[in-house]
Amino acid sequence: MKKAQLEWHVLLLVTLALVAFGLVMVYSATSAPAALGGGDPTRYLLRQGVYALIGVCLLAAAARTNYQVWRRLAPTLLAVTLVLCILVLVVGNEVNGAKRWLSVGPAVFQPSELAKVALALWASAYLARRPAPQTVGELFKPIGIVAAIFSGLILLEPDLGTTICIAVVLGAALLVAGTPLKTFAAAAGIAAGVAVVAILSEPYRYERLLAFRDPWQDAQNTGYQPVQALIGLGSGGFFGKGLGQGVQKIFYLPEAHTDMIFAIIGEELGLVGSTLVIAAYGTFAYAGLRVALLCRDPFGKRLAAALTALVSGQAVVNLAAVLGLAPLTGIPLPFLSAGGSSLVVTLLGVGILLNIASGGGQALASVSDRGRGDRRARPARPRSGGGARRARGGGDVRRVAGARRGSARS
Amino acid sequence: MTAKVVNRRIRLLFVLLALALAGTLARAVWLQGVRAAPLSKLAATQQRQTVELPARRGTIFDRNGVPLALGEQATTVYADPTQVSSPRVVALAAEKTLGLDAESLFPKLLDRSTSFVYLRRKADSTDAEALRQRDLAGVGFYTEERRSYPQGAVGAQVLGFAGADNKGLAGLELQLDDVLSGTPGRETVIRDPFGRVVDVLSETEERQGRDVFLTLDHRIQANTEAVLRSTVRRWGAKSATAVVLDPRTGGLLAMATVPTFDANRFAETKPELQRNRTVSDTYEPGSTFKLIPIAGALSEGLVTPQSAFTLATTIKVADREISEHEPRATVRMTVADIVAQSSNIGAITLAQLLGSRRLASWVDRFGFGAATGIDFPGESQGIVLPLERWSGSTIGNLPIGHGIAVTPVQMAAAYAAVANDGVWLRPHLVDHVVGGARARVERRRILSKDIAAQLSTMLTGVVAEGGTGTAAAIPGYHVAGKTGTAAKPLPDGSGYSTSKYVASFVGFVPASRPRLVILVTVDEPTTIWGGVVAAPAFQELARFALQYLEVPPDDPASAATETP
Repeated sequence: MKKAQLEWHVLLLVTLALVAFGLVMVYSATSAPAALGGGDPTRYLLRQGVYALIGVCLLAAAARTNYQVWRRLAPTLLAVTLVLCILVLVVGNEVNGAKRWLSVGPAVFQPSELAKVALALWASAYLARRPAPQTVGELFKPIGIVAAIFSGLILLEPDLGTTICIAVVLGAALLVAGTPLKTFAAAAGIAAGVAVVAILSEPYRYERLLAFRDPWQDAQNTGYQPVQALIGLGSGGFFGKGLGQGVQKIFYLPEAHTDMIFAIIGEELGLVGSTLVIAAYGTFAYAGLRVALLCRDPFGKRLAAALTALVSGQAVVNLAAVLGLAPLTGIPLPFLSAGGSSLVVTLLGVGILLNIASGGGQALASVSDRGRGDRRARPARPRSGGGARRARGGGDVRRVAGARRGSARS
Repeated sequence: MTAKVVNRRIRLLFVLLALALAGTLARAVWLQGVRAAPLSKLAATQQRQTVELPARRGTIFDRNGVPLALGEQATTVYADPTQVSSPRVVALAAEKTLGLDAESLFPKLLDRSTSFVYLRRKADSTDAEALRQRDLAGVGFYTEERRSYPQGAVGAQVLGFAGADNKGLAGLELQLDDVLSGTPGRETVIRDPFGRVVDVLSETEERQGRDVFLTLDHRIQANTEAVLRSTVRRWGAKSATAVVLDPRTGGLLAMATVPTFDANRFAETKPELQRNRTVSDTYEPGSTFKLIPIAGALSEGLVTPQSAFTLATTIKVADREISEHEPRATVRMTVADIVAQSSNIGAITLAQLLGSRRLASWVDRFGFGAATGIDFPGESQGIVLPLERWSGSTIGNLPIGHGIAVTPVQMAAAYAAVANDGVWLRPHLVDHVVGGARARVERRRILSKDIAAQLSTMLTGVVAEGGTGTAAAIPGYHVAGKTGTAAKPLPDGSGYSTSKYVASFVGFVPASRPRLVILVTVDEPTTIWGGVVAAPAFQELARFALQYLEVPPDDPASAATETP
């Protein structure tokens, strides 16, 4: 039944491998300092493990759910996310001066992480329904406005990193939708302007920007974190110090298990480890965008691209910061950094992507295409092959599920 | 929008992502490949630390295993001015607990240009604990070993001292530094940013310093110092020295210089008091030196103890005319009489019989003019005029101990050779290093056994009735010895003082089987005579040591006569 079978497998494999590797690295980065501080060395591992489990369950569920469902759910989800994002500013837990987390019983949840996926879904659905915005004004209404509202709310937490992620995801969706490059560049310019204002408005962000330009100049203060990341990476050398043998995680490198986990990977596994991680995100990008290419449905195409950008684009922003190519903004490395909300939401996104890869929503998509009178996608179908099988009734989710069960039984 | 455009855009997005990832990969190659070495060095600088593991300094024991110098746990207190929140509070607390001066400490604590200031090195651990209790920010502690001399003043000049860094700087501490100090270990550790040790990378264990047993006996040493102190007081002298050694081994039982001082305050003591004068200082020995020409004349077969000489009231040597200590008529004296009565003219007569060349060789033979090789730093070799520079009057000065400078140890060793059947043994302080073999003592026969016995017998005459050293007599024991009363040379070298003398006595006991050789010198006493000033001190020292060492009497008859 799979349309992009190879890509489906690659995406799942890369994702699960990264999640598993993330658990190992989170344990490596947190156990030693926890043990030194007299705490439970497995605390972060267990917590991350629980989130990974939840995330993988969501992934499985999403992979089996026709992604067209999200098209209908998108506006509702966006509205709920908006409420949560407002709520977090009112009743959120304050950690290190930032209100980013909502407590739900024992779990804490970061609404801004959900916003990434919600916006990806909503923008993809919107852009699939309408032609790509031709002018900045069209782009601004309504995508720009929605993006601005969310960005504003998230910047108030404050959480510049997630805002940048949202920009990356929306940018990918707009780019793929065919927004003229001139319009796209103008929008990107406006976004960059807003970013500059955001940076200048917060002294600590400005300091980080200065520290990025020359972290060694004030290696004890503002440059401390980037310098420690560079020291960690560099001291790993080619093969690294060995898994678990890193020293930077022992209170030298702040946020070693979250945003800075790549520095620990580099220290312990060397250039070999760094290369494999970067290659994993490259592979994910390739497979994810192949899914987008192979998908016939405009919504699926845009959504696949946006979700791929959510993972690989976010990885680029994180890696660039850790490697000292960009200022630190506080973005987790997808799948690897400790952090429940990000992991769960990203895995949910991958689940949706997997469903697109499996062509789960082909019939529905063609129905909706027919309803809009856009027939252009349809003649392309035979090219990919397997059209007859799909025609036999791939459109019905329940029937697909039933057929799978049947094949499993035989 | 057409799917074609969309697909082109998807490919564009892929290219953008691939380029960005390639950029991060290039950067990773740069950092982890090209820049790996300097960044690793930075990592090592902040993470690693090589710490020296101090080696315990060996203990110095006396011959009975009583510690004379040992390492003690002390606490060094320091401050990091950059971390001190309230310099005033810290200064006042340090004043109260460590007895420091808050006024002078305060500006040091204000100086934030440095992050390390000693408050007190090797402070008393209980004082430091009192300060620790106050839990002041920026004040740190670490334990160090402090050298302590539990016997106080006993043997202060002999032991010397070890400085703040536990390095021997004087005396035996300096002499034995290699043995005592051991080798510090090294440990390379990984530390977290708070300085806690996370891991030990490599470790070379320290080799502890070795303990040393001396030949000194702390009781004899203490008694010797006490006797010298009272002698100095009694005779209004400047100073006094004494050497007590075992003639059978050459081992020193005591080596005292008075005035003394507390060994724990060595560094604060005046340098002239720090010297172990029995080794480093010389004196003109006077009559005690008569042993040498007489031993020479006997050994060369020129005379026997019974050989008699008619001695005029004075003797003229070159341009000098030498008389006795006290005027007397012309008399006939045997060699034994010359010794007993310490006749200058007799000693010179015997020396003239021996001749310059042979006298000079006997001076050498007894070890004068050369360092004994005692295991103590800064030994003086004394001053002996070489034969070619002798003047005509030298043969008149030298036999009576003028125109020559010796150390107390040289003189004691010379008499010890007589006591030891004619075998000279190198005097020494170290009995053995723990875990090491007892060093072989250098020995040299300088007299035949017979001559040594003859000399010994004659020396007992000094202490016997009619001799100059009767004050040295000890009931129950035969005592052999010789008095010395020597005018000190004037500092300008123009001649001899008429008022400043060194009174001395050197002898051994029991004379038949000597166990102790004791030399006492008293510098500038108000009464000049060795027999009056030094002999009683010898007697006191010998009595104590004989009793303490449980040496059986060799002359029970004399004991009976004293206690009727």
